[in-house]
Amino acid sequence: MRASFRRPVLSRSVRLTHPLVELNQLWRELDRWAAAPLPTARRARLHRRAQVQHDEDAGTWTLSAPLPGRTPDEVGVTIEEGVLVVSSDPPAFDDAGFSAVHVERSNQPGRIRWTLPPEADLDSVQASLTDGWLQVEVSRKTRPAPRTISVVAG
Amino acid sequence: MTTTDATTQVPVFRPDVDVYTSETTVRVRADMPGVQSDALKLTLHEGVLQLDGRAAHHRFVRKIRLDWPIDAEADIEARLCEGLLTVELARAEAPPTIRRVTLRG
Repeated sequence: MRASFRRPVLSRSVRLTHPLVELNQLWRELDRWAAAPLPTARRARLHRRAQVQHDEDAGTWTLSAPLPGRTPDEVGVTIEEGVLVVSSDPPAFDDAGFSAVHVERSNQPGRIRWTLPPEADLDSVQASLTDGWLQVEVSRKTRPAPRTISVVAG
Repeated sequence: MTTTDATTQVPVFRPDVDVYTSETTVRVRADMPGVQSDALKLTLHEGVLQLDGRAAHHRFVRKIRLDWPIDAEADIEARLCEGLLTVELARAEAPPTIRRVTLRG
């Protein structure tokens, strides 16, 4: 498939003279565009919330999740038929005498399901909760060494 | 795509925030998981509370405009427990909302 390149739209102030001048003008246009303030919706999309992350390297899978306000005793991590389940209740607060003005934080029970790869070593699962940030590490099963089969002449 | 800190290249998140108020106090609660107290910076300037917390692999930044006059002389109580920040600020007495204007004729 042949790729098509569309010429960028320039303002009328850009005159097509020498290629270097044109390139310089194009560079200024890009600078001006980059310096322009972002629209509100786009800015909101850039500032996203912390959420569940999965990472993988050669021998380990890692799950990271924000669980603010929970102590290790309030978070349950189980493995049910190859699915790792993290469950926790939202922290309770005493806001008697206060009225809510602005509410963003979730008040729902947290539940994360992660289907572990078949190569995961379920006995190696380690979980830690530090400052409200959960991290679960799962190691890959060690592959058995190749077995040499002797062939007997029959 | 997300914003990243220009110096450390870590992702910058916007923490979820709840704001409660009583007759005397404004209570702000913010999710800042992974942040320790010595890596948290709080500033209050012209009615805007700014939160800036750094964790190992990310950073939280948020500005919260407080719609109530705050007593700048009173102590501001901030607690960070298990990644959950709670800030309590004393409200100042609200200025009178009706002001009489003398007419010169």
